[in-house]
Amino acid sequence: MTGDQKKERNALDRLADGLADDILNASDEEILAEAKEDGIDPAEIADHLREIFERAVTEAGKAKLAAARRGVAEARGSRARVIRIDRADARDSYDAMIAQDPKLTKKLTLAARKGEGQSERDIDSAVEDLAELGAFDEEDDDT
Amino acid sequence: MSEMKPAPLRTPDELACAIQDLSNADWSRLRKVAAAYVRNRAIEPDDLLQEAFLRALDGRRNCPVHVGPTKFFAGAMRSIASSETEKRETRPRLVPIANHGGEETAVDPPDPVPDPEQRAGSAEEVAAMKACLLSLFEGDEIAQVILEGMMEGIEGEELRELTDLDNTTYQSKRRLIRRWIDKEFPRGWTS
Repeated sequence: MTGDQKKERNALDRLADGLADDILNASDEEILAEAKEDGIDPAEIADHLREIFERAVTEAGKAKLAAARRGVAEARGSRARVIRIDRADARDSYDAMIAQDPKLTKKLTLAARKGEGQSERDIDSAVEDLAELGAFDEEDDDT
Repeated sequence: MSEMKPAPLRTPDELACAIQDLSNADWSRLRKVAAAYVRNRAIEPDDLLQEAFLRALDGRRNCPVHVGPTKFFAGAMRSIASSETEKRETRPRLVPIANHGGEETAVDPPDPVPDPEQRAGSAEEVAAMKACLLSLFEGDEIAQVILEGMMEGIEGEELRELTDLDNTTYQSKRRLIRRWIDKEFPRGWTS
């Protein structure tokens, strides 16, 4: 914006400020008399603007709710997911799954013969992975 | 040395309660102030007021406890209208550009510094608005002096002295100017 343009723009801004000040400083009687002169019912203006205010309240409420939802979603995303499972039941389910896959069963049997079978730790790890994938009945805990 | 403490603020709920207590005259004031600030701008008085309410309710603008809600919302509208003007000046425009085989209209991306064409257009718009306002008081030299004085930022006693009017007549003239502009531009000024 050039200096001249800013000066001109400010000229209108200053006028608007002056008019707004006069409106704010006018007495209630003057303001109500002006409405009457203009054939406007001040109660109708008040009702109309109250509606606008209520719309703003609704909009602000919606925005607040959306922000709260985002916050909860973010908090959930950053929290560790703890899954409780019954270790013995999970192990049984794991064995049953393995048994359903003949190829895998054969491979595991061969590996065991060669002394390369799954350790308890391997099995626990596989059970945990399957639990995370939702393979077992589980009970969520958000703590 | 005394320490400057920030003024205590109303919470959005306190402000909402204060709004519920506004009188009919206060609501009319707010509507008039909205119309004063929407001149030549791409926003309606009601939208300007709603935006001011929204910013107060969502905490983007805070009302000090010692400021009345009517005055506070007048200030909020002033600020919103001012940023609308800035946005308007850097808004992208659809302009035909040389193209090879595609659509002939494209968005001219906004430039933070208005180009000479924009500057000229904007300056013309403002000059037209000023001329339009002054022409409303053709033949009333005193009203024109007051109007020009207000646009120049001359206020109060200084401006009254320029007109040689006594205080009552001066206030009455100012009111006449405001009322005339009100009637001519009930939804904000446009040139």
